[in-house]
Amino acid sequence: MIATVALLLAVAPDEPIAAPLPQAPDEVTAPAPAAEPPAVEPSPPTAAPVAPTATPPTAAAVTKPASPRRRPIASGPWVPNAWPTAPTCTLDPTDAPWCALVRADVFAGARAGTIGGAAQNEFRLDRAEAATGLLWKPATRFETGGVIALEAIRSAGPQSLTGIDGDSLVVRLLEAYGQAAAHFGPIDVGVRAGLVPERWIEQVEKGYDTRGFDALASDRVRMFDRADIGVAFTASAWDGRVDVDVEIVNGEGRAQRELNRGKNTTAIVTVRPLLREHPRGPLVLALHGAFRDGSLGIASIADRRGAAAVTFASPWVYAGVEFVHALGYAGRADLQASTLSSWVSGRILPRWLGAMAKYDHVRQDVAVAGSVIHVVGGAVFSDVFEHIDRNRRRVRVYAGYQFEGYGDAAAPLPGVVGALDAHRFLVQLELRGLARFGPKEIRP
Amino acid sequence: MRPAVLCLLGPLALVACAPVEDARAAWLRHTLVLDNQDFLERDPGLAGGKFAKMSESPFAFFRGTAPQLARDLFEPGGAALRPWPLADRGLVDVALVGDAHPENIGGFRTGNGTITVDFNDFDAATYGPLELDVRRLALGFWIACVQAHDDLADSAPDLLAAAGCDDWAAAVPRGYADEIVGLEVGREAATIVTDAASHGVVLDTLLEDARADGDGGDRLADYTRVEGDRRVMFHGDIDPARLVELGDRSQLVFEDSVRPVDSVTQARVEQLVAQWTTTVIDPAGVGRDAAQVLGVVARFGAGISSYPLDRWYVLVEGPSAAIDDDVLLELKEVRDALPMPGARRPIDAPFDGNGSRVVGMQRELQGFLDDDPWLGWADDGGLSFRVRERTGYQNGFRVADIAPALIAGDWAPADLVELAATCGRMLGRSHARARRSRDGVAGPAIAAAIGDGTVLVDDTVTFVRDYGPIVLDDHARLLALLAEHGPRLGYGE
Repeated sequence: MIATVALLLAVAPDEPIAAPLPQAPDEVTAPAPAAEPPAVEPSPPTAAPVAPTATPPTAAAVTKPASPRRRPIASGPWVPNAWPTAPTCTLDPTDAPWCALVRADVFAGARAGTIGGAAQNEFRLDRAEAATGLLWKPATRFETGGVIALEAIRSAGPQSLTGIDGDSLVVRLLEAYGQAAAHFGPIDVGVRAGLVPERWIEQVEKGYDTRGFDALASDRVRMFDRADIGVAFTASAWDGRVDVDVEIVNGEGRAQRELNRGKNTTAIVTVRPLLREHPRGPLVLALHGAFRDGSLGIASIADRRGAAAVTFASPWVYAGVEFVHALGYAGRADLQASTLSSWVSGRILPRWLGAMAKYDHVRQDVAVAGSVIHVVGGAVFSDVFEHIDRNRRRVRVYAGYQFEGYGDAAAPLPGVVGALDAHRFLVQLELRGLARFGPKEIRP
Repeated sequence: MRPAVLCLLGPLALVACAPVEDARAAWLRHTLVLDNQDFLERDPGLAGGKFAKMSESPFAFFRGTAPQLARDLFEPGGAALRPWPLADRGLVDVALVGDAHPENIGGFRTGNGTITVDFNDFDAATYGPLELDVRRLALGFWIACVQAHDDLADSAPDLLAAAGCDDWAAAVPRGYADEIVGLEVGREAATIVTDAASHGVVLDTLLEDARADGDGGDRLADYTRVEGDRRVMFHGDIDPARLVELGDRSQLVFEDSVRPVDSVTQARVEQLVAQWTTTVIDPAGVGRDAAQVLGVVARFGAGISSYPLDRWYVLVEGPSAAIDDDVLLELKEVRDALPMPGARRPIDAPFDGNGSRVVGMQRELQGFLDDDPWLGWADDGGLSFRVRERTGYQNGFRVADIAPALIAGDWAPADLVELAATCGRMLGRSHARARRSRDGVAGPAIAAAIGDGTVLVDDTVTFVRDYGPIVLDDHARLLALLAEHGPRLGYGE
């Protein structure tokens, strides 16, 4: 039997970047762990993927010998995030049937600026995560495993004074799921069950390379919760050129138990018309679309989402646009809201210098003009060590600026010009890493 | 709302096909459950009792729904989301009572024996835009007026015109503005209600009752008994519990009952009392002997919003070993301040816990530092408790008394308008003399922003006219929800 362990420590900052939602968590909210952008730097070659084995076939492979499977994993980009096309580790049922994982993410930094004209500066720990897991491949066309991930949050809510021993950081489950994948020719299918990561965020973040600076708008304002309890099915064809995800989850998010009999059902379609290997890394153009039929709380309040995104990833430039429309939002069935997020990042001097810009437009109530929040940010960044995407290794420093402006009808203080407008300079450190331990794994 | 075809798929669809309530009713049920979820888990009976008490009158509903008002004021899509004219002038961090309303006004005897009337519940106290307090206080008077009007509908409909309720609401911001302007003249202008001067027939009555009840030893006589040469806690019902009918179901509601506690709770309370002695305004005045615990009971039935909270009544020795000066204390669990969804919590808020917040804000906002000289707090892990004296001096205004007083001719509608104005003045005094979270006392900034008060009065009256009927409708929605889903709104069922 397989066990997987993952630890995740994430820290909720004291003040949301934008706080259009009532119970919006302290900013935090990190993307799903498996969502890793394609490699920017060429990754070291890895062991051959699921090569035909000379060893006696497993029981499952007796009737049909394993055949070589071509996967664009030589350069590594899809290995950490190719679910269910390829496992995170290099596995084969005979020589390397198992693999253990350990990963960690830390986003920390300092901010200085003003909020509503009042000076504010602070050191922040926006995310601290650690994870470990175990994968098992008992047959050529099948692998399974599980992940448990923990995150840390502030123990007092945004409006609370008192949490645990003041407002200590406490650790809670972020993800805890078992998974299984099977491969049939060009089709790969997988299922996850438990506290599963939100697939929309996973999919879109494959085309978003600067999560350490800021979250996607849909993540930050809780258009989608990062994880929920339920089951997620994924079918992927032609090495990820078409992905279809279907999630059925409680719909209350990771911070609440199920409160109604309904389940949130989300269907996500991802098409990658451009998916090419380049000597310096992958070129990927992805089109995403999703709809969620859902309900929230004991009164089964409508909580639906329609979403679309276009993302582009390459060794030189990342860019994307994401739009999410809510039909029912923040516990109000008759409220419609939307977010529009766009970003671009690129390398000026590979490894040493990059630049990024991001703009989020949050419309709190589409029926009310002026109920908008604009978040504009830009930064330069540098990778202290060479990025190795297969190992999710990243030590990146951002130095940037962000403006957050509220429309004249935006909550929480409509009509109060400038009371919440924020100007902040940021120095942010993004630390990420993934280590694999298994018979065929190279050392991280 | 939900496509019927999905529901027809039944379990295969795994989607919510519960009957769809109107959006506002669904929101109300949703938020009431979230706000009270820990009570629903900890003691479902008390949580159900709270909802039942809220259902009994519009004003009771109003008292139990301060978080809903806050959501409507601060959240996207909120029914009361509207501009904040004074916050726009920089007043976003004024010290607030948080839950200012007519029934949170009552008597005290200060450390030097002065009888005063002041705001008496600071559980929700926080920092924010001053309009929040003004709006809630004015809305409270409007609902009190409407309720009194309804109470009189059968017996004396001419005594109180519904149209006059706007005057009650308008008197609050008018009094508030007058106080701010008055404070600019000199500190002696501050409205501090004592029995040294008349403050209108309603407050004078409250002061007289406080004096009479306090001097008569009420509360101590209610909750203790003298056995031989010692005083002991009473166990039982001061006022019996009752059943509130909710559709075809009913819910037990405590009125005023006290029950013995186990030895573990007794020891816990004794530790809290020992800690409390260091937090009173004059620790030297509460020595080890004065705080010696003579008895502890759990008290049930008080409050509406706070109905499910832990409360203990504690008998302590008092200044001497004589039974006549024994002191009855109340230890009441306090929770977080009034939420202001989306608003940033000031990182320099000067309190490290809810006990110190409630007591600190009370001292900041009341007329005297020692309105209650026994006031203090104690923390027990993540829980905080406010400690106060329970005496007859600490009485309170009751909205249910309005109609009978009008019928009896003791009060006239104009007296209630005067009460509203005086409460507005008290609120203005409280805001003006208290320190903001980031600056000094707020008075000068409020005075500069408020001008002659016209903007505040217009904003408040418009708010009340728009939002008051929504509160009344929400009360009706709660009645329907309780009848349909039961006393706990269907939670856990």
